[in-house]
Amino acid sequence: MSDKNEETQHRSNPVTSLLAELRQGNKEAEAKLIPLVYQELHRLARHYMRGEREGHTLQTSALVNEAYLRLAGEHNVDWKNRAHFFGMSAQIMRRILVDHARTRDAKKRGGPMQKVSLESAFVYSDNESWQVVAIHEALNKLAEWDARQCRIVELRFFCGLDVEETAEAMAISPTTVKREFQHAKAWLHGELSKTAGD
Amino acid sequence: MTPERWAQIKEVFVAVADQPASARDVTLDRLCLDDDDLRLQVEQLLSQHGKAGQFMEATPPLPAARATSERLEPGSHLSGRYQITKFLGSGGMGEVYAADDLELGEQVALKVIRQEGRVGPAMLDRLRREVQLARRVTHPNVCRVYDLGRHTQPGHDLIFLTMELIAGETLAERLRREGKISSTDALAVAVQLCHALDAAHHAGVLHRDFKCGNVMLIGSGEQVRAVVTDFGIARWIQPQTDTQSNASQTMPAGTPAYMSPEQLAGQPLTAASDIYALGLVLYEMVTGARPFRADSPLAEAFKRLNEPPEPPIKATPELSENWNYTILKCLEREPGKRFASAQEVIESLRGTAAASAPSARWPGKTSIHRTATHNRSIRRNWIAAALLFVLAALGFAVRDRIWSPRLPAQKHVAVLPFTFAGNDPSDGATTYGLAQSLSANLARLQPTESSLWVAPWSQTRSRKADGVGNAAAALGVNLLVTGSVEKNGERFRVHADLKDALTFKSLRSQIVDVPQAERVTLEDTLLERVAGMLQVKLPAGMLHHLPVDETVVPGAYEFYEQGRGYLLHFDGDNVERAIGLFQKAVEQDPNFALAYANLAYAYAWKFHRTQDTKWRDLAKQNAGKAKALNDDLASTHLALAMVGRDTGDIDAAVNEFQRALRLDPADDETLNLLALTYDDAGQTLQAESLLKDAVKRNPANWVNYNFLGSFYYRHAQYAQAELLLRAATQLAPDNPSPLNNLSGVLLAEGKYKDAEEILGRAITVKPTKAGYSNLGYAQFYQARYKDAAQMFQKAAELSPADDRLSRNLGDAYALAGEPAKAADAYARAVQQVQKLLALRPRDPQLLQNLALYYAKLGRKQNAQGILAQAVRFSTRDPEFIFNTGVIYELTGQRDRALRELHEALRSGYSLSELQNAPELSQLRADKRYPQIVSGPPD
Repeated sequence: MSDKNEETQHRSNPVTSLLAELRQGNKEAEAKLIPLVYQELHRLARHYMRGEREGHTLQTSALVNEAYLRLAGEHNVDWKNRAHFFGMSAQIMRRILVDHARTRDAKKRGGPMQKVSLESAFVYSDNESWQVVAIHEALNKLAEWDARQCRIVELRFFCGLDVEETAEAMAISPTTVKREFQHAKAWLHGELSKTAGD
Repeated sequence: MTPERWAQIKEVFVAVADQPASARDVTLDRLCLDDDDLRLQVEQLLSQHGKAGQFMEATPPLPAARATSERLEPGSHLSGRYQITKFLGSGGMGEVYAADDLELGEQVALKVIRQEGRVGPAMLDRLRREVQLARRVTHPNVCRVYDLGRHTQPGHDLIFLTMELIAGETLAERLRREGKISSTDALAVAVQLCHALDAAHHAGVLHRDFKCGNVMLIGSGEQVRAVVTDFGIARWIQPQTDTQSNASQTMPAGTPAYMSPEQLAGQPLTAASDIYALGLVLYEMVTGARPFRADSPLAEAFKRLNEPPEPPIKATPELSENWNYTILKCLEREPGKRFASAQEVIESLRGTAAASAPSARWPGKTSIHRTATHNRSIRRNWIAAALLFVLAALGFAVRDRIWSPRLPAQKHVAVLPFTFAGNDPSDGATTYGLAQSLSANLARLQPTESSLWVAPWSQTRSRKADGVGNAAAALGVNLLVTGSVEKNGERFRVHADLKDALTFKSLRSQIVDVPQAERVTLEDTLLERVAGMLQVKLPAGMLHHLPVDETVVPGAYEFYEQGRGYLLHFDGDNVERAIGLFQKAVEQDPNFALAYANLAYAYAWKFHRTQDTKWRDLAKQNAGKAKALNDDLASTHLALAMVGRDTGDIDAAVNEFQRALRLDPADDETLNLLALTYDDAGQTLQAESLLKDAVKRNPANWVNYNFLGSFYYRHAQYAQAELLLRAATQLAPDNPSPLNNLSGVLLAEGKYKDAEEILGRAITVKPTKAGYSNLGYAQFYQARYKDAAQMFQKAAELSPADDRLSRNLGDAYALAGEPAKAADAYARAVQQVQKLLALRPRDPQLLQNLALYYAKLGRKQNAQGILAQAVRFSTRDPEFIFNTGVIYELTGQRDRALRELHEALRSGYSLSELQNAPELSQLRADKRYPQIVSGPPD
């Protein structure tokens, strides 16, 4: 942390300043932020999934948004910071979602000696859980030869960022985001129909 | 797919995707030229693009919770063992309930762990290890953790922890009610918290989530008792799933508001992190608020990373310097600058750490000098503490001399065999039985006396009462009970000594002197006296094991007592001798229920060994007599349970075991046998939970590790099995049973050389069926078939009724090129297993064995018919599935064989078994074989 920034940072919200640092490419800021964001997302996710809001279906993006508001403060409307925050949350959300879907899936497959699978109290339609896992697995493949496209899908699909926000989070043009996502979608759709046809 | 090719396809796709279909062809022609494959790939993508519609247009919905509340209703049962009695509250990880442990008749706190994400095998293992670790901490200020349980019901599993039930409120609740606590009262709490942390840190356990919500208070003022809960178990309750994401590995666990700076930074935690959290708790106690208050958890955490805390004395001006200084030192950002131990925190709070209390109000520019002084004196104290520690380690006797004559706080006791002055061997057996029962009875006090630990009799029974110094080290005890028995005319006199295990000095002694006619009271009186010497309380009802009015015929009791001495050796000759003595006892006193009960038990054991129905009938007959006289004898029900188990009447067996357990709740053997019975009935989790319970209750008894290890072996969890069985062999290095079991696991893991070495040891200790059989197996899989046949032959001689040995013998002969001998052996196996089936006609294991032997004899029709029956009754454990595969292969059904073997692997069956099984040599050449081996792991 450089001296001249210190004063301003202390006055403003820490998340905002960390996000600002992150935008300037300060990796340390990310290291400080990630554990905090992770905690908050998990806490919120658990809160929702445990049924403390009954019968309520929530989009992933809404959850991440709420986490952002809670951490960064409601008055903070800088959409660029928001994009970076979402960018950081995308991988975490992907994991949360896939883990749940897997749990569901494992149960469905059944078989003997399911020694250690634990089903949480979540209701997924089978179709949704299957799709989330299938997309996750296809993305693992995709990451081998096109990591950037994979990241775009993560931001758009798992975290719910729109084209502009994705572009901001990744520092690329909105047109590129749009094209890449279109291409990825077509490929993933093909991959998933292959899997389904097996 | 290469990145270059991918980029090429993408480029073309992007160029045409938004074009109208009519224009696409021309562009494709131009861009793909004559690369037909490229064009095909792009066209496929375009077609998917057309079909995609709303695909991936919305983020996946967050799985919504069930509308119904997840709270458990009072009266509901978990795992058939715990009954919820009351909801106590919800914590960070889930709800907490009061529950009755129906198996052991105790009240426990039951904490449901709400865990998002899948609990994978690795994670569950970690949970188990953590619970084991947490159990190491036994301290009055630490809540005891009992067990990790899992409840399965259709569509929904939940994991829970059971722990000591503490009636009180949390420190967080107290602070909410009372604002803050005066520093006098706070000191009483603080000292206990430090003791708790210190005990845990010494046991190598970190708390990791120490906070006001994890401290229970009972009472108030200076009489308050503080108990720290959730030791070490918090970290895995936090969202830390076992996926490989880099992010997850650095994620901190704990409650953000109490996390230390290093925890926030994702660095490894040490005892200093707990000290930091302790500082926050102390701060909150005396000021009523946390330092670093901010409007969001993130902002609060951020402040903690970057700013020094507000000194507590600012919020509470009446606070003493000692407190202010101590809290701030706990809250140092650098872990190295905090106190090195919780003990130092106490000293600093009391102001006994330094010659004078620090006079600076808080560390700042002016306090540098004083802080240094303080550090020096702390170091001095450290040395003093270290010296004290060495003194303590030298033996409490030294401490007793210097201070008050006291017993050590933790009483680790071994009862050594008593000596007998005289030559009559029957009195020798009486003497042996007396020491044995004393040891067992003291061990029964362990669940209620947390300071007491009794070395298992199996380890002490071969120790001599002299030359004791080394016994102390070998047994890990600090106290010894020795005794000598004299028979002086018509009187029995027992002289019992409580000794320092290291110095062998007598600390207390007692003489029990009873006339021959009151011989029956000897056991109880001795227990009472020894318990008195040890300063442990005997719970009410403890002494009813041997009702004084059990027999009025003194001679009868002596026979009985001697019989017990022999019976507990559990081997053929001694059990035979015991039966003889019990019979004499009932001849003397035909109304002696306890003698009938033990007679029944001895016969049940014989039946178990030989499977000869004659013994079963005698066991039942004697049990009937015992019951008619007194229905409340554990041995009777144990005998009936064993008979039930061996005749396949699982329900009766479970009932009887439970009955026996209620009568004698601390009997490891009953607990273990009940567990095995549950396992036979397919109630795996129940079995596991009971077996772990036995280990928990008596962690120094090798038998418990042996059982649990065998259980894991049976369920193909070899790594765990190996660990436990190694522990068993260390506890009982001279006992062949754990050595043989360990070798079995090593064989399953394909470690044949290791197994041979272990077996060498086992056979030297005692040649047994299991030892020879496993040795044969090890040689067999190293293709030494002739050697193997020899070993199996030896094993069969020791256990002539065992069909599995005949089968192995047959296999060895078959591969050694002696088909005629092989066929003989298989035919013998068929006869042997048919005998067993006459007793247990629906036992899937036996049926499957029979099918296998038929298959090996080439009698395919018989094999298939019997296998079908076996499948009908089976619970399909991995072993069963594997054998089914083998039988299919031997009867020419390759497809089915492949399917079953794949399934067996997926259930965790040993791959090396599959790759080495001689029956499968042709199958392994099948082109589909690699697929089942390398198939998807989950």
